[in-house]
Amino acid sequence: MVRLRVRDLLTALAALAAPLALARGAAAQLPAGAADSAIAVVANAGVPARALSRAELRRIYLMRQRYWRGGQRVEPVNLPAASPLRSSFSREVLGRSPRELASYWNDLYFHGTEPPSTLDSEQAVLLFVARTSGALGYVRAGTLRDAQAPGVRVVLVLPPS
Amino acid sequence: MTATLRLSIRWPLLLAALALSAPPAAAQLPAPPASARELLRVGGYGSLVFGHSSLGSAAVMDDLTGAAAALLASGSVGGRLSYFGEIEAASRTNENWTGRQSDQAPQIDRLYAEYAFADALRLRAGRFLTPVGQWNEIHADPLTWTSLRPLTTYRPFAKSTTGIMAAGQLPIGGHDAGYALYYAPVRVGPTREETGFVSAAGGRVAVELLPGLYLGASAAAYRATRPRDPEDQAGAPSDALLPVAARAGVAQAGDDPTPGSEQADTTGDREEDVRARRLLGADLSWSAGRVEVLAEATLLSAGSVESSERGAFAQAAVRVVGPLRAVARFEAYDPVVTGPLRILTLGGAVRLPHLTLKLDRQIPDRASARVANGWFVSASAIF
Repeated sequence: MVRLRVRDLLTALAALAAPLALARGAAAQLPAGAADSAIAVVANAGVPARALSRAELRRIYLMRQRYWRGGQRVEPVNLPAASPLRSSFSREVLGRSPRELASYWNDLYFHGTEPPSTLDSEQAVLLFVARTSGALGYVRAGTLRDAQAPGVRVVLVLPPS
Repeated sequence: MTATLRLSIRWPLLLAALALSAPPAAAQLPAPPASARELLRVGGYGSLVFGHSSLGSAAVMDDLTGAAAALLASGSVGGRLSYFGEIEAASRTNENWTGRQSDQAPQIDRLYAEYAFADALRLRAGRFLTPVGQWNEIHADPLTWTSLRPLTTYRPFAKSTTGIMAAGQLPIGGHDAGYALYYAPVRVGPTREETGFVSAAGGRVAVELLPGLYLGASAAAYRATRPRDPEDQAGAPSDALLPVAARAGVAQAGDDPTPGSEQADTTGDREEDVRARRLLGADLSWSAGRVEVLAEATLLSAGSVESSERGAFAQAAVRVVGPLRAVARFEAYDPVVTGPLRILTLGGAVRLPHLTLKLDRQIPDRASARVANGWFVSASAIF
């Protein structure tokens, strides 16, 4: 009986410590020489993917891939269209600026598909990704180093453009 | 004269009202959802088309050839089940096989539910846009570069189909690809479309060969109704068409019957295909920098040369400065009532965040009661 309680306590402590370890792990996954301006693509720690290719990332952000391999829904989030980081990400991954993608999203809208949701800041992205099952976002590597970001995993690092 | 004057005064007022109703420029994209699991999203578009044109040997007319408003509603439940609806209320002057006619009927373009098993497999049931080419599935006036649709994008098939569909997207050999397969066993309600499906089955595949370069292919087999052609000799139906009312008799004579088809169309001015038709289509789109190119082609056949139709168009839109695009399109369609017709369309379009203005000059290579020769100006808003 007592042993069970101890085990429960250890389990609870492990559960509490895991996000902290993940946060340290997320920052530790950044390449040693990664510039603060590099783009870190972060996913919720619960997603099955350990890493993403650029092609997968592109498919997700163009809403062509909506499910992770395990069947969980992908919840990609963007920064505001005016954000310089979003512009860099859009050009680097999607090959076009947010403005140039307007007609793409208008077309998809008429197929019933909405663009990724938008969050106001990188901190909001980290918080959303940590708390939302299947979530995917991007922040500056420097932001990730500085932030307490439990529950997120770095799945790809894009060098500064 | 009075009517024309009144219209010319109203026209700028209508345009101004449409422009003022558009949301602010900051919201360039349709508002993204707070969550992908929103139960209800509502949007829509409206458009006005004014023509200064003539059909065949008729005098030039100034008229409001189209005023349309469409309401879109969509949403998802639980991440895998979703729905989409589009209803359009329009007062539109159509130029179809029977000539210019007014169409004021509201129409459900789409109303379906969809369940996503995976990215590679979604099942859809209900009424959906027929997946032939690219234009038909986009089709909304604010998203197109000309005021009028090419014949190739609506003459050979029905705009909407009612049935079931399997569709999906998947990477193949490093390229993003998509497919759609559909089966529409019954006609639902009367139609005013150029071609209304009685029954249909078909599919479409599309591949992104390079970023921005898409190639597609479509195929369908169907039976359909069409408006009766008054220019047909003595008004009699051709060997491939029969009045809808006579369809039951044809079925009794041993042809493959289509249950309920003789009751479904109550307009009495349509003819129904006796033979099944086969449609093949190909399409290409490319966008890079300032240029957007779209080309589509269709071949419709019923097993004989006489009853085959083929059409193709190529269109280029080039950004000149700011939101202004210069647009050029060439289309050839054969036959158009009595023979092939070539249509050149030149124009310009200004696409603002929620408002699109277009000015087109449509020039058929001969006088035709089927395709108007003249100027068209339109304004359309998306919200």
